[in-house]
This record gives sequence, structure tokens and C-alpha cells, in this order.
Amino acid sequence: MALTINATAIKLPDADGLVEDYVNYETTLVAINGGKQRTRAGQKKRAQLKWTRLSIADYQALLALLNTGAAVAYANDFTNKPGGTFNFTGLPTFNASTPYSVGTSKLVDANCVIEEI
Amino acid sequence: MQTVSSAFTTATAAAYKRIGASVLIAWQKTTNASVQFFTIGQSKIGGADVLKGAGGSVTFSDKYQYTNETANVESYTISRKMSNLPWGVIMGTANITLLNANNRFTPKYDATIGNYILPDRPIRLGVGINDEYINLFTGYSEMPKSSISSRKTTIVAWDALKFLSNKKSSLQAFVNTSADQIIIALLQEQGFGVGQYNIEPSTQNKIGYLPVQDLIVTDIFKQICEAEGALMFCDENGVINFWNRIHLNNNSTSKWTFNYSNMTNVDWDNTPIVNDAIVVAKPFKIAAFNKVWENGQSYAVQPNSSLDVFADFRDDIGSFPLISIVTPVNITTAVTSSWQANQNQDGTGAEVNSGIALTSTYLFGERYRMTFANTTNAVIYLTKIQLYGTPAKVQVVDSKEQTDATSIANYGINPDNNGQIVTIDNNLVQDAATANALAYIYVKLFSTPLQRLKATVFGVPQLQLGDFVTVNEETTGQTLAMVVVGNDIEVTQNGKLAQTLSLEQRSTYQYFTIGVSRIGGSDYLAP
Repeated sequence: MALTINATAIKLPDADGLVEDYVNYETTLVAINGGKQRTRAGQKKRAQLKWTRLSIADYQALLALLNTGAAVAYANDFTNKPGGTFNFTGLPTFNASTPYSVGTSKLVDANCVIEEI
Repeated sequence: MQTVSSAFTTATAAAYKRIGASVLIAWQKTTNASVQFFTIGQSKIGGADVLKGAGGSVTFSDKYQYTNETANVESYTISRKMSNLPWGVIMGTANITLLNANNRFTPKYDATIGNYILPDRPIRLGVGINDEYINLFTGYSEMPKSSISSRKTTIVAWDALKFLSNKKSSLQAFVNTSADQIIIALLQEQGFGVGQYNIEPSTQNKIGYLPVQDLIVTDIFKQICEAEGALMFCDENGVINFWNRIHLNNNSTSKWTFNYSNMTNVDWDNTPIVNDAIVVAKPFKIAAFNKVWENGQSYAVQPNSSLDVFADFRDDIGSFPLISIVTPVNITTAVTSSWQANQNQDGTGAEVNSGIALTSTYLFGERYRMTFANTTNAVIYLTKIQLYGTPAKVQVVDSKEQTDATSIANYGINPDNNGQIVTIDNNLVQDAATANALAYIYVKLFSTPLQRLKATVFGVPQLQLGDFVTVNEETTGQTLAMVVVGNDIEVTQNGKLAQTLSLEQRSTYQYFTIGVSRIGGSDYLAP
């Protein structure tokens, strides 16, 4: 069981901090009588990760992997998706979501969204 | 309607479909004979293959080696619209928005295409439904425009008829040639080959005389279309079409049915009312060699200077062109065209036969330029200039008026033209019968206000201008036979395939056919 970015295992997100889903690029038109028609251009994978109180080492490791601006290889082999894997190359958007106080604690919450290219 | 597979037709009407956009740009305008046409199931998306134009032959735009920019497209829109008149030249346009976060489309940036971010690049736009693609637009770009802040590049493109609006013909004048043959000759002059155009036969007599040298090709087409009551447009595959005035009437089979379950909105309007129209036929015919111009004033040529004298050829009817002209010479040796110079403006002094010469001439058709040079130290007056040549003159003027008394009684004369009679005055209308037919068609089509709809529909991208469709207008219970006179399509990265059709109700009428129609029946003599 592993969650990797560029083949490097990362700290697992919070218990309720991982959402893996699909983004559908589609439009649904509604006719005058309410009839519908849907046209879809494509479907892309997306992973949303959330961590609470990351240690300095974990935070820095995630920062190094997810904050370069470059696309990364996301892989999860314990997903609930068909086939048991959820792998894709995506663009990460990484944020530290809470401030820290120097001299007291440098633990921060963080989150990241990775969207398939 | 474009020819598509039955699977494409079925998918078009289905509640769910996958769509794809295809954007190909020939940045370097290079051609590649080895490029194959896109084959579903064999060609690779993103590869070098291109979508082939309809028909068996390679179209003008098929020659280019395209770069597939589909992965960088945010959206595109395509628009084609007829004017209010039932004839004319229609130019299609497209607006493309490309993603440029990586600066691919920034001029001078990309190693491969950076030097070719330029105007006049061939472009093809297509749309796929469930992976089967059709072309929607073939044309040429204006200069791409990029924005640093939006990280996007926008391109406006026009079809081949816009391309021809920048081209002048250098062909000799046409004499006794049918309009369709003139169009073909002009297209071939511009590099279009057989299979790259579809030109229907002219429906009037051969055009007696038409000078085209130095004229814009599209302007000539516009004049021909008005005279023929014809439509000219470039289709989705880059093939130029010329539809004569009976085309729509003979191709009125409904191609699609719209109702409240596949239209998302309908805006109502009416066609303008035209119940009184005059069409004037005043064709040019080649006249006998004769004197065509004489000066009405004297011209002062200053010492050691040159002077351009322009002769405009006109008669009581208007301007006329010259097929040939005899270059004038000094009157002392002249047989026909001549010029005479004098010391005095009123011609009372001594004639001047040396120190002044006609140094150059140019015939513009309806205008002739003569450049005189005075090499003396005194003013010399050109007191008499006579020009002889072979003109093409308007020899018969036929003016045909058609009215609809019932319509005039109901609405007044041409209420949508401020009560003024609509007059069409065109030198290429060759005969009274054609003038009569054009006036007849105009009044026949528009004497009664017919339904005009702007319908936003579930996309049917294979529909084309001129297609007839059936509209079941459920509020009023009407079933309308309508023709597509405008077609706007938008394709976006969000899977949007939006289409707005401008539809116009057409009163179709049967032309009289020998052996089929009955004397005294409801068919009309073919105009």
C-alpha cells in the first residue's frame, strides 16, 4: 500500500483527507421542453490531499515534490477505483493552509490538488 | 448537408455524445505530398495526417503540411451568414482562442514555429462526434494576437473568398463568355484547380463584355452574383461553390427536423417586405471603332514639366470601357487619335510641334491616362485631343419591374425600404428575361412577410448554409420549411457544441418543365 509522487512515497493524508475523483469537461444543454443533451470533450483524473499538523520534515518533503510547478506522477495502489489503482500525471497546486509561530511550533496544515494534464 | 456516416448522424441526435475539436494550422505553409488523409482507426491523433476535404480530389488547402494544435485550443467559433438578399458572396469567419502559457504562439519564441507566427496561415477547424471528424472551416489567418496577462492567443481567420478579396486579376477582358466560365477562369488564375470549386451553370445569356484586369476577384464575383441572382461561398472543406438562382428551389428536401425537444431557444422575426422591384439590364456590347473621347478644355503643360491628362469614357448612359485604343500622335501625322499643341490657350497662336511629346499612356478600362512632357522653357497648351478606339457600350437598356398588388394593398410599397422601389442596376444582367426573373424572384420571395427564426439548437455540425430543415414550432402548431441562411458554431474545451441557426421560411415554387408541367397549372415558367 503506497501513495507515491514521482515514485517517492509521501506522508499519507489525513483519514478524511484524500479525495480521488474525475473531472468531466462537458456541457448539458436543456431544450425548450426540458429535454437534455450532453456533450463531453473529455474526462480527467484529480486527487485532493489534506494533511493536519505536518512535521517540518514531512512538510519540506512534500514541498520539494509538489511545489516545483512541474507535472508529477501520482500513483495510489490502494484506491477504491476500478482496478485498485489510480495513477496519472498531473499538475499539483500545493498550499500550506495555516500559519506557524516561530519559537513555538512550526507544524502546519497543508493541502494539495493534483489535476491530470 | 455534409456527407457523414449513419453512425455520425445517429450520434448527433443522441442524448449523450463525445465531442472533439480539431485545429490544424500550416504555420510554415509548406506542402507535403506524402501526408496522408486522416483515417479513423488508423491515423494517430496528433500525427501528421490531415482531415481530407469532401469529394475525391485534393482541395486547395489539402496541400499544406499542418501542425495539429488541438491540444492547445481553448475554443473556437465559426460564422457564416447570408445577407438579406437572396444572392451575393458569403465569407465565413472563425475566431480561435489558443492557450499560450508556454509561449508556443508568442512570436519568435518557439524554435520551430516562432518565426511563422504570421498572418495568412492556412487553418482547418473540425469537430468530432464519437471520434468521427468532419471539417467545419477551411481558411486563412489574420495575424495571431497574444496576451501576456491572459496567457492566450487569439486568431481570426477567413475563408478562401476573403483570400480572393486581396487578389487582382490580370486576365484579358472576357467577350461573349458565360458567367460560370468567367468564374472558373478567375479561380484557375488564382491557383484553384478542378475539384476545388463547384460552379453551377449560368442561368442567363453569355456576358457580352467584361473587363477584369486590375479588378479585385471577389468584387467581380459579387457583381456576377447580383446579376445572376446567385450565391457564392466557400464550404467547410475549402471548396468554392457557385449556386445559380434555381439551386435552392431544386434542393429543398428537409435535412433535419427541429422541435422543442432539440431547440434550446427560438427568437422570432420576419423577412423584410419587398413588393416592388426594378432590375435594369444594360449589358455592354462591343461597338464599332469610333471616336470615343475629345477634350473639352485645353491643358497647360508647364515649362520643363510633365502633365497627366485623364480621359474618362462616358456617354448618355454612363461610363463605358474600351477594348482597344489607338495611341494619339501629333495631329500633323495623325489618322485617327491625335493631339494638338499651341502657344496660346485658345489655340490662336502658332502650333507647337516640337518640344512636347506624349511619353506614356495607360488604359484602365473606363479611363485612359496620357502623360505629356514639355522640354521647352515656355508653357505649351494642349488644345485638342481626340481618341479613337473600340468601345464596349451599353447598347440596350431594359428595365423590368415586378410588383405584388395584394402585398402593396396590405403593407404599402416596400415598407422595409422606406417606401422606395428597390432598384438593381447591374451591367452584367444580359437580357430582359433575366432582369424580369430577378425582379420576379425578389418580389415572389419577399412580398409576404415570412417567418425568420434564430434558433439555438442541439448541435448538428453537418448542416450547411442553404440546407432546408423542418421546424415544428409547437407554440403555434406550425410546421415550417426553412432554409439555413446563417450558421454559427461554438466548440469549447468544456465540451460545448453550441449552434445557432438563422432560418428563413421560403416559399418554394415549381419551375415549369417541358413535358411535365401543365399549361394553366400551378407551375411557373422558369425565370
